[in-house]
Amino acid sequence: MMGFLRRAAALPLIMLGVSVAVFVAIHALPGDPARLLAGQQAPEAVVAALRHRLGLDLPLPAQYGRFLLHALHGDFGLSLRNGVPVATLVLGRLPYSLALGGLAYMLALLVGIPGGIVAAARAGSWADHLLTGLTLIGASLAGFWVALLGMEVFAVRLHWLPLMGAGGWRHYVMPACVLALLPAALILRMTRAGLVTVLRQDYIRTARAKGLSPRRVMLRHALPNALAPIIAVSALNIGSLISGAVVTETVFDWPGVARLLVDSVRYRDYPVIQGITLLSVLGVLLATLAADAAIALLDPRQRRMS
Amino acid sequence: MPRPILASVALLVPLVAGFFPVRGDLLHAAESRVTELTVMLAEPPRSMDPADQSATATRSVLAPFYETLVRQDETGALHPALATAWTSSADGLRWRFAIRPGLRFHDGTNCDAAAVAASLRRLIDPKAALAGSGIFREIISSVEQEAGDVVVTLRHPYAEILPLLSVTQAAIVSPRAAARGDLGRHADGTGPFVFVAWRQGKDVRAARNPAYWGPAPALDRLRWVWSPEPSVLNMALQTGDADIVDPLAPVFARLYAPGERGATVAQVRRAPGAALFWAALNTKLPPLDDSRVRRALGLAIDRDALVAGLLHGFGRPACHALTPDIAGARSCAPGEARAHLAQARALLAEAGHGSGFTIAVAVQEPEEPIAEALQAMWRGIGVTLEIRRQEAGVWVQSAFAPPEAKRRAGTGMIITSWSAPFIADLQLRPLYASVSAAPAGANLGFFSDDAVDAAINAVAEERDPAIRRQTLDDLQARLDAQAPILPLYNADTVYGVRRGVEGVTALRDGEIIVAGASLAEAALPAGGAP
Repeated sequence: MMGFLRRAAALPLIMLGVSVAVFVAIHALPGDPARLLAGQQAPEAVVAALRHRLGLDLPLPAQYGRFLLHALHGDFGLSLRNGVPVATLVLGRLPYSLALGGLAYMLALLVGIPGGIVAAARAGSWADHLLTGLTLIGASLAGFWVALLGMEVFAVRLHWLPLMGAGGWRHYVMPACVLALLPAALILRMTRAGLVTVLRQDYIRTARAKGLSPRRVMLRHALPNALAPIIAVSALNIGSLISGAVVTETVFDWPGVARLLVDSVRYRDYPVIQGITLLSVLGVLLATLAADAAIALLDPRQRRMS
Repeated sequence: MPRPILASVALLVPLVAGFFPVRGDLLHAAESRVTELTVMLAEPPRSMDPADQSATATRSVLAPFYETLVRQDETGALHPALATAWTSSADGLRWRFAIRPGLRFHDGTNCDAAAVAASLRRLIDPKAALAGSGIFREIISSVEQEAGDVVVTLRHPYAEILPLLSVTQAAIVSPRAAARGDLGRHADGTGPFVFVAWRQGKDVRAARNPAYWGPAPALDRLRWVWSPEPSVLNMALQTGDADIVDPLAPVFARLYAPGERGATVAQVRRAPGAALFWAALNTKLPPLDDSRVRRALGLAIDRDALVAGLLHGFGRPACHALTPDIAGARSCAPGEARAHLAQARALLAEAGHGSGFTIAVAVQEPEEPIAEALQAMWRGIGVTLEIRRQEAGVWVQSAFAPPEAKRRAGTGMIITSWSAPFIADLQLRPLYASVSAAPAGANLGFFSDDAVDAAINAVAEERDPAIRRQTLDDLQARLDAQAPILPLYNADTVYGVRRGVEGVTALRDGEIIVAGASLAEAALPAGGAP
């Protein structure tokens, strides 16, 4: 418990360090936002005036100081592109990303964990080969390609699902499936690998010898002991969900944060990039903390260690 | 609002989706009986402020909201718009515009001479630092209101001041909206459609302006959405998620040819475009500092092949400095657009580079196929082209780097495109004038020639058409000889329109005009128009 609290208490310090790193990294990117915004037809005089208007001609430490001061008050600045407050932009889109990401994550768990259990329970069988083969395909296919294929088949040809955008529940089906593809494959493989190792342990043999049903052995004795790495991997998969969302949201015209990030990087919209990156880092850190807490709850050894 | 829980439940039974057809047009019909047109573009608008942007896609969005003093149609002819008449002084420096009476901005304020003058003064105000203001600040010295008219005073005569005042950047905005400071997010003009909302990441919506001074639009609503993926634009046209897509990638045009499945739902339209694709040669970097070498590179390009291979025929080869539709522009002579390898080799040998050399080109992803084609073509004269594909921000840094930085990086060539609204000066001055040498402007190869500078100024100021035409011709001949830039082709404006949508036009600068569009009876949503 103390370990968990210590890690939670370190969060603000980590975020401060990350904010410096993100600020430096973003400003180290080649490309002048003022020129990108003004376009190549604009003369340098206009670009220079725009640079001044946006405060981009200030020294970097002054820009960071201003950013930090405002950020501490919950103000992440204004978008360089359209003058909208970053918080408004990000919070307007966050529900869409959370809904899609949450759904995809749930789908990945729903497919990955039962699939992994089946594959481990029948290790070496045709079912195992089929499932692990499918995970290989799922992990190898480019999300971009799968998305376009799905759109062509289910939207253009069959008219079953909407092509793009966010709206009713049908709009979630294709993007969530595409986004869930890679994490589902990873979770399935991790679950299978963890369970196969656990199922060889002596206490499992003892449980079987006592006459417990295979279902009970698997769910009551094997799975809880194999869950720790699965939870850790699932938490880390939040990161891959965020990067996967960049492609998915772009292709499906989903009004989420990841698409905003892509557009913002293209135009070097520093305040928006900073806001989203910090939010993503915070999300991954919180997910990792939650995973640590869950593992500690499940595994008494972890509690003792911490 | 997203409903994650509902969506999760629904996802457990995804097959159910198969039982419910959800074609875009049916959804449209179900949700509303009003006539709405959805336009899908390749990028979101950059701003709702016409003076603070310079992108073709943004201009298409802004067109129904704003109007200019004079209007240019798809043939290039000028018509009165917010100004009903105009006169100029004998020296061409003072232009007086009579403002149409009874005009109102969408915010309800009067659009009179005072408002028009305020809008134009804002455009040339250096403190406003508006992205599209450059050329106006250079040309217009003051704007005054005089007895109900607006008087625009120029720093020097400018022959094409009327076409210049017809471009979107010169659109008249509500001074009250400008003072409020949110014009970048909320359009406020006098146009036939009123801005409704810009939902970031989703769409821009507009509704018919009931108080419009001109003919009432046939449509009730307009909506713009966007996707950067060309295949998504194509699919949206087929499903009905979009009524108009701009651009439609030429590679998809065949899907809508007569007899094809796509032809039953949509058609491909094309119009001569202003987008000139060109390669700027670094005239400060040997051996490109030798005009013979530059000419040789130009002669080795098969422009017909570029148009056929990269544009699938949707364009025109560009052999000279100006877009062919600009008055006085030279067109490709018969056979000129093909490669002339023997002449190119001879020129290279004369320049002492018969054994070839290597140059590096900085290019963005969309233009990379051009670089690859040039790489193959120049192999025939012993020139090796090293392609450096760069992300947009990196490319801008490379392209607008000063001579010393380009020399250090070994950047010999930049490939890009330029869209000038058919005003010769807007193509010549930024690309060829000494004062525009990067980083100050888009003269990316640092070309400098006093005679060319003088001719550019003369073309801009000369009001006698015959003299102007002759000066332009001489200037193009000089640029052909110097070859600081290799014009490649002019891409057509290619867009897709669903069957039943009428009255959509493309201006010569690539802007799609939908304000006058209507839906044929068969394309009207269930219940028809209200």
